[in-house]
Amino acid sequence: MSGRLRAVVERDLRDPFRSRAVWPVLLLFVVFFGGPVALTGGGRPGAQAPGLLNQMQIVVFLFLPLAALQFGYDRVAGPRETGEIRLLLAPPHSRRAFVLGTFLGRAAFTALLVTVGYLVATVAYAAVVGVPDPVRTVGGYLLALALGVAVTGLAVGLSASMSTRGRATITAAAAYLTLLTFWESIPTAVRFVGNGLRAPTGPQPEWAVAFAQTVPTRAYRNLAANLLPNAAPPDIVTAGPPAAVLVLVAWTVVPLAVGIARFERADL
Amino acid sequence: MPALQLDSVSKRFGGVRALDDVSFTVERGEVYGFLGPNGAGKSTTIDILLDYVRPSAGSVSVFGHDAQAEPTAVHARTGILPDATGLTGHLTARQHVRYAVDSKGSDENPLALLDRVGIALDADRTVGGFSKGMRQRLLLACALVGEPDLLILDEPSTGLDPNGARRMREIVREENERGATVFFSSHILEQVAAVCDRVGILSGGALVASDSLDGLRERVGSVGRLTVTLDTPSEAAVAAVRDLAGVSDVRVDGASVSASCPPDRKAAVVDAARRDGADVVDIRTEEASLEELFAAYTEGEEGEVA
Repeated sequence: MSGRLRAVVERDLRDPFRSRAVWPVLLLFVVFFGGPVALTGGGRPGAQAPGLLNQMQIVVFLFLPLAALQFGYDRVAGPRETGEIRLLLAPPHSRRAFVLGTFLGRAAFTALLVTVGYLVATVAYAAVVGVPDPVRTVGGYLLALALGVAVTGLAVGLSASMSTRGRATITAAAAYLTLLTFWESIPTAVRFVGNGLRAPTGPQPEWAVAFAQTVPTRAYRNLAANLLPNAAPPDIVTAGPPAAVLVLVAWTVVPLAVGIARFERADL
Repeated sequence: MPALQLDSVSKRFGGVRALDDVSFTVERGEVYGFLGPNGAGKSTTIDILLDYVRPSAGSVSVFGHDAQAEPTAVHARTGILPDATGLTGHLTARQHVRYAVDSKGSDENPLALLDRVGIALDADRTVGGFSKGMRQRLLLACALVGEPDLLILDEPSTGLDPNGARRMREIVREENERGATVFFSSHILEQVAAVCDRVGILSGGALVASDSLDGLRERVGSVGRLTVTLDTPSEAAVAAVRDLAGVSDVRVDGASVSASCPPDRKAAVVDAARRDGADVVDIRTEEASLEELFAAYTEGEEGEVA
């Protein structure tokens, strides 16, 4: 007999409401998702209209990973530091099930934030501009969900790898910067070192471009570009839809798997 | 099959030896008190029983399930009150119990459990404002979920007022009568004496005794306290008692002289007290207090530690 995982999922999904931490974040989602659409009127009208998806991209890219990390980074490391993990694992939940339940609860919460943000943006767009393109809107929404879930997997996986909240905080901050810029700078850093610690010259070699695509924020944008008429993702295999989907899945699963393995081996 | 069985369990944290070759058994239906000073390794032992911490050597089984290989099978039958645990402050007492109830697939009413530990009126308060005693009661309520076959309580009376401590003892007895095995650690001796069938004493990471209280008394071999009350007490009588071989810890309280002594020295104490011609008004003997036993085992003063 094992524990009812649902209790863990529910605990994590409901916690932001019980702690009231959800309300300021929800307010920010409403402002950041709805605000730009309402203020710019969805951009210029006519054939050049950027559309809802185009406007959402930058918001999702900057804001969604931050929220997903913020709500995930301390869910395992925090109780481990305070000792509450003994109480949370007192029912017959295996450590693996506990981390997975935490991930599912938080992923559902992230999905809720994305849904609210997208609903507000869609309503604002419909009010100011007109009915948005349904394929791009739904497609963009699903891509945002996928990015949110991937970063939640990363956050919970990192949290399960860390023994204290302090370490989890630093790791989460590093993870956010990695998603935003660091990952794409790694090839440049490698070239800098390979070039005898001098700035590399010439165009980016193909491997550097290929590597830069393998971060979920970039995968999200590459997939979104496939839905937009005049956006062009780099013409390289790691930017193609199958590779981009694989990147999102890998960033969800690998950190979780590593986190679970480390958590299972740890003395709590 | 015993409820709990530890075989040669050792645990090192880095270079520190927390547990050293600890073996003991707790039978089904027993109330077993796990005694020891702070830092003796009690919580580490419990952490290993529950697979929160892995032993460096040795094995542990609970109802025949290997604690490391089948922790969820162990937890399914066990109610746990962990020591020094944080509690998410923005959740209510009811929400904390609800998590345990839902996790165990039980259909109990959290309020009934909170009522049993005496904090039903605070069920919907967030626990951030709870006193240590209220938190402890809440943790006990969580441990009781699902009528477990085994209760593992780590320092359950920490922070409890006398009423709370009494309620804790009553609940331990009730659960034991229901058929549950109870294993609890404490450094508070009265708690152990009041409810335990057997006690184990842990000192410096090693198990120095595991026996019934009577058995422990016998093995320590000393020491009762004999109190002689005189009609005309005198300095000379006290000095005479002090001079006796095998007698220690002589105290004077008004007309009474008391001393720790083995049974075969009692007559000598009475004789010495009367030496100055005083009449004996009263003689009282007491068994060794648990405190004295505890000191004997953990400080090694008696030299006969098992």
